[in-house]
Amino acid sequence: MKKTDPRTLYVNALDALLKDEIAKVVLTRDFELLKEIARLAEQDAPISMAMTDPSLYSSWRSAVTRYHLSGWTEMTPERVSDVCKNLNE
Amino acid sequence: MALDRSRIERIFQQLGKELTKPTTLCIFGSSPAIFCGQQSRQTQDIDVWHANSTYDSGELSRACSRAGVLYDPKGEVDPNSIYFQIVRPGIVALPKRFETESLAQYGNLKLVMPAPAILSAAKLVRANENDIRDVVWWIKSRNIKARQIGEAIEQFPELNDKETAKENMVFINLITKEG
Repeated sequence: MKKTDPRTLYVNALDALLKDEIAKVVLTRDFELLKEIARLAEQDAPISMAMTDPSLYSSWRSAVTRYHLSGWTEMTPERVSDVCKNLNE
Repeated sequence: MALDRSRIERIFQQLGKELTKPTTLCIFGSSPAIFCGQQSRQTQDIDVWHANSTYDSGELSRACSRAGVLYDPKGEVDPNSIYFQIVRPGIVALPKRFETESLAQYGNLKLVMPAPAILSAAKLVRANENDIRDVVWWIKSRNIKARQIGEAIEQFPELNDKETAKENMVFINLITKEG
């Protein structure tokens, strides 16, 4: 897995999650980004964000709902790591 | 105008009323998932796999006309039109024989589709963004195992298709427990 700086990774992953571009990222086989997307979906929007940035909080929560309804639930950070590891073995 | 679930159902209901002879249409591509409830997915065409369908072309064509959809157009299509595309083995190559699943019966019209594992395997051959979304949806909604898709891939006649689909199984491993 490549190593992108954490801030860029977070921003790109959140962007992909909010824009429902997970399938697009899957096709690029960017496992580092996929793992971060999975982490953000699993973590869900931080409660504190409801006060500090209610708009993003609402969008993030909607994106997580869509993530599960679309069938991505099993794509956890651990699963992405395992798949990536198996590919490199 | 694109097809969503209510629109596709109305079309089949109308066709069922119009058809006087028993007709079986094997639909594949994205329309079975839309019919089965996949949200936020739309399409303009309903793909019909000729080899597993039984129909009178003239009658189906007339019924489509009365239902306001085009029947197997070969030329340019208005972006607002809905159309049936009759597909024979060629660029798309489904297995010669495959398991089908009954979707619905509307009067004389029986709707079937390839088993979801076959549909998913076919989508792994092309694997564009929508295909990936569709496969993920099928796996979730029908609890399909990676093993079942792997077995379906083996049924495909073209070696290149098999190889491509196998390479793309990595996408399935991301979202199935048995990974």
